[in-house]
Amino acid sequence: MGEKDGLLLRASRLFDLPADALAGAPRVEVVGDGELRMGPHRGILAYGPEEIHISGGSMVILVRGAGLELRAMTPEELLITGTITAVEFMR
Amino acid sequence: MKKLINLLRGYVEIEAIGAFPERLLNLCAQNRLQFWKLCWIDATSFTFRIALSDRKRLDELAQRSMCRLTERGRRGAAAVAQGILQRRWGFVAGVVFCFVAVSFLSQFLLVIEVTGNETTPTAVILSQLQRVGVRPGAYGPSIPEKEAANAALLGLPELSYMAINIYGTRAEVVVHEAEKKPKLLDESTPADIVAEVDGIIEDIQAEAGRPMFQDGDIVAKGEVLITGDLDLKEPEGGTVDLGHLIVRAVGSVTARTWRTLEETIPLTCQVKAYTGEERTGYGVKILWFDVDFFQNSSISDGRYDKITKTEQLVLFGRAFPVWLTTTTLRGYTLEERPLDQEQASVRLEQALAARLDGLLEANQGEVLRADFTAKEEDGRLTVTLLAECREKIGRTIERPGETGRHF
Repeated sequence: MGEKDGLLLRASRLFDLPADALAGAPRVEVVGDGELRMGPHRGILAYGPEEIHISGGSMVILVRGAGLELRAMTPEELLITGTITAVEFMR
Repeated sequence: MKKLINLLRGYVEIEAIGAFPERLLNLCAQNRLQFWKLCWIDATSFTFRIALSDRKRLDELAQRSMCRLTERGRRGAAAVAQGILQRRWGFVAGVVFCFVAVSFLSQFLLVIEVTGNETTPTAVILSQLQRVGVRPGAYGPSIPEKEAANAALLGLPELSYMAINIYGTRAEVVVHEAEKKPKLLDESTPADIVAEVDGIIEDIQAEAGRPMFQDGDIVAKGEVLITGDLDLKEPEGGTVDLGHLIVRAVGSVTARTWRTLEETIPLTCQVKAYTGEERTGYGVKILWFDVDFFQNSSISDGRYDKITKTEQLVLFGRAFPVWLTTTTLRGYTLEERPLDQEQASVRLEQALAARLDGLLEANQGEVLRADFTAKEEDGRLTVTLLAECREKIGRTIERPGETGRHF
């Protein structure tokens, strides 16, 4: 995490502001275990039916599961479907 | 719904191979190239689908991400249409040509329907319309409907209104017939009433003018019955000339008349004897083009009946500008044959009676008695009708000058 990003994150926590809006932190939304939405993102780093690596800027989000599929992808958001077993954040 | 839209838009299934194929996906997302049905084959390749319209842009992105693309297939309505255009261009060109031809040809008039006429024959109206350019085969959009209707009306005084409505190949012509102008009584031209035939006057009534005869008088053809020249008598002892009052005589004169009519017929006649030689030819007229399959055929000895029958093509109750003409030539020779005297006499009597009726009809007359006499002379039969009638014998004969007082 960059110094600037960390500062913005801390500021958002201090002032009780949404971190995704202020610091541009990725927002990950999981619906049940079958759908994952994420935005903003900085692209896919690795893709497979059991593991997808997504760049979130300051971190890498790793989605594990079975039969994973990238259903939609725009510059702002992406949608992954399949059976999601785990979401990991790697710094 | 999305599937249906994708099917309509058409899509391409592509296999991408490269060292880092994820880059291609990222580039697609950045450039807003929508893709779906992503299937990972191995670490270096995957398949996905994109819209047909994004195919070219994908090539650029593949080049940037150093991926090789292989098309696995094209599907959807747009892809099928594109395929047809590429493979069956002749068929497509034909369809386009037919469409253009139908669109263009449907602008030409094929049928002209006239409604609203009762006494004026449709053929007269169509003939006048043809003169102003409204005819089968004319290019509809080039016809100024209002101007054409006005121009046609000028040549048809019996019509008071005309409207032309063009619907594709059909022109509807709506007409209203004009009220007939009443015949104005001309009172400025002086006239006498003279006897049209000889007779004995039964009743003479003068509305204008002076009667020259009384009931029971015998009059000869051409005699003035009611004169329009009134001599104004000056009072007894007077010295002023009052002159003449010239009027247009009006009145009716009923008289008993005797009419003698005669008809003659030879007792032999020439009768057609058909030789049995017959030729039939056909001709077709489409719009204004004549196609004559008959050419100048004729029967050698020159005597033949020519029977022409023309039929117009009618489909579903609509007449189309296609006519089939059948011409039949039937050869004959003339033969001299005697006439049956009795039959000839009856025919002549009928002809005389018809002639008399025609004469009396104009004079509002009736036949009181009719006698026929027949005689044969020099091979000819002559039938004479002597008829006693009652009719109006007065006929207005104009004279030069003007009505009014003359000295």
